[in-house]
Amino acid sequence: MRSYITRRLLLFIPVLIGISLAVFLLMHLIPGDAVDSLLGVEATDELREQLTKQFGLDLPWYEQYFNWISGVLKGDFGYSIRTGKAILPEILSRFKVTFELSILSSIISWIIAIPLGILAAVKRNTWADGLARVVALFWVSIPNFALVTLLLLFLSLQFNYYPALQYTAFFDNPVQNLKTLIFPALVLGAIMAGSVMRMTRSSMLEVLRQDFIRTIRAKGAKEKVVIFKHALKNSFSPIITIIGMQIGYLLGGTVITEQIFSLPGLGLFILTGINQRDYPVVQGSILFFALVFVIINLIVDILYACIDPRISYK
Amino acid sequence: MEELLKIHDLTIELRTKKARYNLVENIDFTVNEKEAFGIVGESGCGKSITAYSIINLLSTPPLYIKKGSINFKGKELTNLSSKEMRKIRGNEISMIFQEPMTALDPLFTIGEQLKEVMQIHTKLTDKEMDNKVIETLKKVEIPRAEQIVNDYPHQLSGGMLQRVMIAISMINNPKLLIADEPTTALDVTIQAQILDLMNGLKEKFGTSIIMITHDLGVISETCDRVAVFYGGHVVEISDVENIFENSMHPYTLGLVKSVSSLGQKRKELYTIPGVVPTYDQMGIGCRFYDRCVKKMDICKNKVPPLKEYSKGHQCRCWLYEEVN
Repeated sequence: MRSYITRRLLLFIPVLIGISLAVFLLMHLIPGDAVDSLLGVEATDELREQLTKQFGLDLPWYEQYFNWISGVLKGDFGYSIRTGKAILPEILSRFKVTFELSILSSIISWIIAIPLGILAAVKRNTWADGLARVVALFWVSIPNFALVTLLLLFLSLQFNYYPALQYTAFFDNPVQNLKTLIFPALVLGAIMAGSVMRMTRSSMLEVLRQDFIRTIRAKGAKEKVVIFKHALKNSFSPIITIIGMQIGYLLGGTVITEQIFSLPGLGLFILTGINQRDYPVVQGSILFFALVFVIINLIVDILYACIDPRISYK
Repeated sequence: MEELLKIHDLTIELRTKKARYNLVENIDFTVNEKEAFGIVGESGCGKSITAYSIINLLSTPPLYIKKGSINFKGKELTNLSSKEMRKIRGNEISMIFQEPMTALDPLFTIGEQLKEVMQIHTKLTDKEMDNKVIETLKKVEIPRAEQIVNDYPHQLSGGMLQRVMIAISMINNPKLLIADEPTTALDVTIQAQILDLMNGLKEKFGTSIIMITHDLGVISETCDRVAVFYGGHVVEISDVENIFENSMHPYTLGLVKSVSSLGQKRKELYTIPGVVPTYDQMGIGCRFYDRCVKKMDICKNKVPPLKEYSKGHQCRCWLYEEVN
């Protein structure tokens, strides 16, 4: 197991090099650069040249890439062209918000989706199953921004709730922090719940059809034991897969939700960076996002082995 | 001999949106204490659902017990609440299945799965259960029992898993063991071992066995009496010798004739012409009518009664009604 994890960690290197190169090149393919967007059209050529030199944009692309990546390896993601601030601390502080939001919305989605999925599977082809499936399909289909907007509208009209203008860290003021995050987490959680519920249902149905379930019933076990001890545990692998993917995406930031609830998360940071041609910001954030994504994948793979004795990594 | 299980007039119905079909009809048989009772028939003849209905493991819906009684030690099983039925399953009546490879939960160790059935029905301490697990695994002749308790099902062979299944079913000393084709999925050499083991356990524990199979060879090796099923009917019940020596029903005759034996080398095997009608194609008469070599006019429109023609030998055929 340990050697497997080591090997997986080593595999991160080529993956991250590939991603960093791709991001770097893509950013440079976009017409217009940071200097244009900083100075506008009326700047003098002299000033333009001076800035270009200052940012190192006059160098050939591979040299620029090399300068950037060697900094990254030393933990220096560079400075924002726009604000002049160091990027890594900014990413980390924003990641805290995104991380908390992701975890909170995941927990909400599990609380909704897993019991509903089990219920739908156990009561398959009854009205309860039908209702649960329709609701799940609705959540899966509804676009994120529509739900966010509707919820916000409803909350502000009915309960006089407005998104907090200032984000409060959990350890400073937990109540205020949860107040800020609970509604965006509810929206994201509800959207995740749709697919988690569908996966739980279909996975449970497949397991419940298997022979060993009959054996457990023949032992005289209660239906509760059949479902929660045996069927649910056997259904977990596909559910974990989909949860892992969703958390991976969430940790990359959710632009619309963050924008509407004015949360200083990673998604907004990347978006602003793209709009302003702030190369170092975009490159750094995406590389960071990629790293988080591969780590989540690794965790999911390790979880498989924890659940299923047939999977062993050597 | 004391009666242990008496099934009378049992009819199991399949309910679909369009219609209802009797998958098995008017089933009548008795299993005595310490007896091995065989149920033989082709696939789809209703032998498995009859067995499942005893401990109410039918998949309901779409299968329902329409009428009849299943009496076990004087208790009517068809009336039991699901809680009362759970007390019987795995405790007084246990069951083993055709596919040992898929019959155990892949995520739990052998030991855990054996203990589970004791946790449900007994109040033994953890230590006592651990001891009993090892002891039972040794009784079913599993080598290295102390290590195997910590193994997972995928680490064992089919034959070993079937022994584990037998251990699970025997650990609470049941009165009745229902074995649904326990050797069909196993290699021939392993089949013989498992059958030997079951014969031995029957003697040791005094458990009655219902052996469901399509293989007359298995019947002759393990059973005292046998019921022949065809198309959801019991067509003949007799002790094992008489089934082979004095078969009455034309279907049983065909079955016995189609068993291969060493003396028969190079001769073509006998086959019964035609196929089993499916449940939606059953006529109103004898269900063997289409394939019967001795069919008569009466057979087409009227189901013959199951009657005892000599002591302990029952048959459902018009052939013998006329003679009498």
